Amino acid sequence: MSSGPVLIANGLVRRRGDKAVIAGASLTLEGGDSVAIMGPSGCGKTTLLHLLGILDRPSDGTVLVEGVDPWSTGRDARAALRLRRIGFVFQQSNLMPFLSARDNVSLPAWRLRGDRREALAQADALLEKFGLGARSRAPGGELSLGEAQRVATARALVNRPALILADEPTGSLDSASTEAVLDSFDEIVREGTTLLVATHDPRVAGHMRRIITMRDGAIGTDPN
Amino acid sequence: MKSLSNPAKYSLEPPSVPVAARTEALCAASEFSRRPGVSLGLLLFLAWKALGENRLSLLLLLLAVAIGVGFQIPNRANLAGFRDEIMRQEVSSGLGHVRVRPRQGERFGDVTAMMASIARLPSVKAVEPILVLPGVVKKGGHLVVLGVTGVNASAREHPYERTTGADLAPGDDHGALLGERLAKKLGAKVGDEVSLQVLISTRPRLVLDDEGVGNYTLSVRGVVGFAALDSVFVNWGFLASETGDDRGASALLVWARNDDVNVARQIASTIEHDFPDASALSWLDDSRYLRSIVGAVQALESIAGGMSLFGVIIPVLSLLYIDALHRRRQVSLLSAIGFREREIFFIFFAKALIVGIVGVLIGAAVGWGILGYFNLHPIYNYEKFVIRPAITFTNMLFPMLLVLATTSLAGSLPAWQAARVNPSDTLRRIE
Repeated sequence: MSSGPVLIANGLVRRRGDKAVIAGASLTLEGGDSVAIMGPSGCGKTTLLHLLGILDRPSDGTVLVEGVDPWSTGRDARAALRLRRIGFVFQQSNLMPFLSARDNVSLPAWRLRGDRREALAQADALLEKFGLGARSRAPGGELSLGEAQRVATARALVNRPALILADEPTGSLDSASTEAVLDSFDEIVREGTTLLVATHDPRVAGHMRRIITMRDGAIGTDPN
Repeated sequence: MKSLSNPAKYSLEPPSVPVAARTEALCAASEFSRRPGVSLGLLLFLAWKALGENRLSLLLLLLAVAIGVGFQIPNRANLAGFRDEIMRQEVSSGLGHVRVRPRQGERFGDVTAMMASIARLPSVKAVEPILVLPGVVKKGGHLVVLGVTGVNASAREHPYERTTGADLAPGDDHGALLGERLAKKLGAKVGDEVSLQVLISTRPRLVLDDEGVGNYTLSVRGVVGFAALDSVFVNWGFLASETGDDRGASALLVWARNDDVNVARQIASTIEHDFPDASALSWLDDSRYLRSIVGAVQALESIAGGMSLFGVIIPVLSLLYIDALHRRRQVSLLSAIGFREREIFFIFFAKALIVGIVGVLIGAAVGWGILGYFNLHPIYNYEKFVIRPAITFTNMLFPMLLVLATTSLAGSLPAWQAARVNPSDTLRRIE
């Protein structure tokens, strides 16, 4: 594992047809950073997160995850990189509805280590930590939105990734659920994991150490 | 807010060491080079759980597969049973697997040496002579013109199957066997006497003379069925001696050790090679009737099999394809978590496989039950022609494997579709 920045994005461009959805974004995230990306809808926050999370290939520019250029490796290596070093939390429908909360959380760990019992033990510990111990056997489809987001956060953490990317994680939550998710994010950051959150919500941004703004596919100026 | 940033701070000059070289070096040294091995249990677990999510869909999938197998098994077994019955009546208890006739003239002379030679061929079970002469059989006021067939009473195989009475004994010159339908026409039963006139010679001058016609009174020893429904059989030795050539035969009938037409053709070919004056034909080449029946059975098997396969492939493909479309979001999540494309393919393929295996087992049980019913209540049962399902390992296993392969094939397209989902596009569209 590299001891340098967790993530370096340099001159990222993502075109769809003639339009550049991301137009030359550069960004460096150090270990333990917590960064909010803010900007209006359609400014390219989600696309940027997908580029940084190696879900989408940039039309131009480079992404380095712990010093590795994932697009110069094969598909399997990229999948392995996501499995070990990157965790995702999306806005909604984050869980496999047919799996229990603990099965959802244990999935990446089971996939990584091949040991279901160990993965479930890790999942139980995380769910307990996020106050969901009593709901661990509830199917993903029966959890409230707030519970589901916290389960998704636990799942993103289960393999102890270097970087967590969260896309509007509180976008569809009520205040109480938002607070619960933000508490879990604070916990993540305290433990030294790098967190990058795309959000509209100033409350979420307020929990981050830094804020960057986006407009028309480019990283813009600091709002303050 | 603890700190705010200036984007310039995050801009980066290109690294002094080329990225590719750095990546290569880091990959070689880092844990990224160790790709986690796939856990089959995990993939099967996901497939199983996903299948259980929509029970109606699962039920429909299982029904489609089970019905495909459940219908295919009795259908195939009944058609095989029909073919077996035809083979038994027309070949095993008929004219044998190979029919040997003289190329010229109506009869072979002394067939003793020829029979011995054919009997020594490795695939030959039995070889028997028959002598057929035109004749008339009469009882009371009834008269039927027919071919009178001389058969070897001591032979292992006969071109008929006896239904009542006894067989002809060797040296029995006063006995006859009547076909069932002939006996019915004549009103004759076992023990009755019938008059038989046989045209001993076909030479025109002798036909006009009494000496060319043999008149006999024979006792009905037994009644025979199958292909010999309208025939009359007498002792070959007796009939041949009446013609003045007591080892002569119209044909030699050869029974092979199995029903394989290729074996029969091989025997026929050897006989024609060894006896150029003889024409030898396999049962399939000798009988247009059998050829048509075998062709028809094969065609029906193919059509019914094809219909069953379409009956399986269309619903399985549709349901799994729709399922894969509905699960694009979940596929994207798996991809984001770090599942590889081939693992996602396997999860969806395993669903088809699970449906296939469970459905085939249910279908096999249903098929077995239907076979039992048809065994007790044959689909056709008329005048000793009974079609019972041929319950064999192959007739059970073949439809099972075929439907399982079809289900797997039908599942592979949706699985491929799922594996090709672009997670970024899907997540962005649905979010």
